[in-house]
Amino acid sequence: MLEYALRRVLAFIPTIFITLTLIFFITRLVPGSPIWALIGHQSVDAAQIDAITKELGLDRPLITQYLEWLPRVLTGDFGNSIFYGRPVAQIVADRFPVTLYLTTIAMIVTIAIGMPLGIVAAIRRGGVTDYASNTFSSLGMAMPSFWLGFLLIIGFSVLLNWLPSSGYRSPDFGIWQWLSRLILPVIAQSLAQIGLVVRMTRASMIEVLGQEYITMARAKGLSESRVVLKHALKNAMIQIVTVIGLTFALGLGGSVIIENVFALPGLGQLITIAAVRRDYPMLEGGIFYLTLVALVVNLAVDLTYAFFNPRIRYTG
Amino acid sequence: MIATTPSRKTEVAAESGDSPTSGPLMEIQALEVRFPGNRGPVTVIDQVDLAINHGEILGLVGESGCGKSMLARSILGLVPTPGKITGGRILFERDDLLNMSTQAMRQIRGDRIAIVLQEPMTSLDPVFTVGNQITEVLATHRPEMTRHERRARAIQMMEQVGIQFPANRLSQYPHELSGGIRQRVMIAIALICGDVRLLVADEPTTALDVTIQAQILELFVQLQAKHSMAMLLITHDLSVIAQTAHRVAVMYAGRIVEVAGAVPLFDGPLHPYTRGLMHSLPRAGARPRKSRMAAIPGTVPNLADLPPGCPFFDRCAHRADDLCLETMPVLEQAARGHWVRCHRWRDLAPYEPPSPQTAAS
Repeated sequence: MLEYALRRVLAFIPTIFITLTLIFFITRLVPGSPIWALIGHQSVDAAQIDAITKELGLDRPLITQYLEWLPRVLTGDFGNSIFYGRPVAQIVADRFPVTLYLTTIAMIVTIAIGMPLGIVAAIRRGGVTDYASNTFSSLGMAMPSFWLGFLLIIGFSVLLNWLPSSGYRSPDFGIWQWLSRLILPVIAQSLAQIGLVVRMTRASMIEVLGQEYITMARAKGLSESRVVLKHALKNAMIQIVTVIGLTFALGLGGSVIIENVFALPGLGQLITIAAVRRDYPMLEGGIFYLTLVALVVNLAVDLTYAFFNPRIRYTG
Repeated sequence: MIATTPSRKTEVAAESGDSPTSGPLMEIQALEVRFPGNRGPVTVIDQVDLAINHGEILGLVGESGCGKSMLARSILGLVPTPGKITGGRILFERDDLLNMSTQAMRQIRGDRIAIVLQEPMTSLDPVFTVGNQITEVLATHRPEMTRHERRARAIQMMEQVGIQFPANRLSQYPHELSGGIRQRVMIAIALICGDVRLLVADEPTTALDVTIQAQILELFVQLQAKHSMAMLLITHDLSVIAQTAHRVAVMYAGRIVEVAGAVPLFDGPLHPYTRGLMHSLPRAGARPRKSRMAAIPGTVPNLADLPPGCPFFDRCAHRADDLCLETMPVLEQAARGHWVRCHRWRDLAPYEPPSPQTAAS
């Protein structure tokens, strides 16, 4: 078990390295330059542009920039944002909680609704619950989350006036002030994810419920709830946790859209703006920290996986 | 929906007469199991009557797909969906299992009726320890026992089924054990409550190495005597039956075609199908080198498309055209305790055990 965990953690190091390299080249190879966004509509001459380029260090060859950038970034220093003029790490630290609250709460909601729904659908296969959950999850997956977000705003904010339509307040303003602005984004985010979890839970539960050891568990005289929740679920969890990890990673990407729809000042929104402005340090730092969370979650999933599946504790 | 058959007497009632209490332990009457098919329901168990006496080993033989495993699962009330028991009764110690509440049935399962399945790798849950899987039976049926008592009882039972270092095994997972040990664990699970009246063993040695097969079979016989329980031993392997069973039932296409004591059956099988099975047993040294093994010609009929008459008709060497084709034979008593479902059993020549001459074709 320890060896397996250690190996997973060690595999983390090259992943980080590759991630950073990809982030650097992809952001810098995209046509455009932060300078155009920086100068806006002011009229400037070529000499001024050269001066700014030099100041930002963008005149040097890409590979030189990379070799200078990588060791610095590995210490956590992404430099200053070109536009905000503040350290990237500081800005990310300000914005990160919003994204984490959104994705984590959405994930909890997704698991809390998706798994029971999938389990019931598997047990009552072909029944009303099965069809209902199937329709529900298909709809959730098919509806674009930005569109769903607008519908929710129209319904709950504009027509019913129950919840604020956009913006964010930190929990310091009081729990309701904070939560009320997260409810609609969380619904929009989770609806897209639930379908995935429902389907995976249903499929793996059905597969497991057909196994001989389930017949055996029933033959022992165990109650149906113990058969399903102890024997079937623990076996099905091996596949379900994988999908949960995947869903979380997708959710981090999806937060970019949701944050823009609901004007949440999170990392996703920050990255969008940084991308438009070609704010390289900001963009790189933002993407990196988002990716880091996804990687950590996947590492956690791998470790949970070993808990559910004793067979891989030894082979890894 | 359970159709009771009040007028019908159990045809294959206990005939041995040496049972400790009056009447058999289990009496299956006119059991019928159906599965939905593309063209209407398919009957996989058809009018099966079978009695299991106290303390006997009843062998149940037949080809794959003849319904023997389905019969085993019916006894435990575990017919896989979408199959359904559509008729008959299963009397166990005089109570009809098919009329019982789920709760009452659950109390019997694993306590008084237990099962050992064919494939010990797939019938043990891969994600729980052996100890967990053994003691959970006690946790279910003997809730008054403490955790410590359950553990002690598990170790004792594991010793009884011949598992070495039982205390260490408790914390191991199924994939860490050999096939033979896994099957011993399955047997320990079946017997842990100590009150098993009927042990259903569904092909318990088929998935094991030949050397292990003999050991496990011997263990079954030994435990059966020790716990004075009845055993329904299901197999397609006649040699397994020959070594262990007191009585034998032969199944074909969802029906019982012959029932007899083991000795009468092996000495004088009456049904052409049983005779075919006996002839297809390989015999070491008894055949010329070039001869082929005898086999019953043809294949098992499709249960969805059975002829109105005898299901063995297509493959039978002794069929009489109209009668056998059109009328289903009934299970008749040919001798005391020897039942056969064949129109022509009286006309057949006396059985001759296979010799090198007859086995060669």
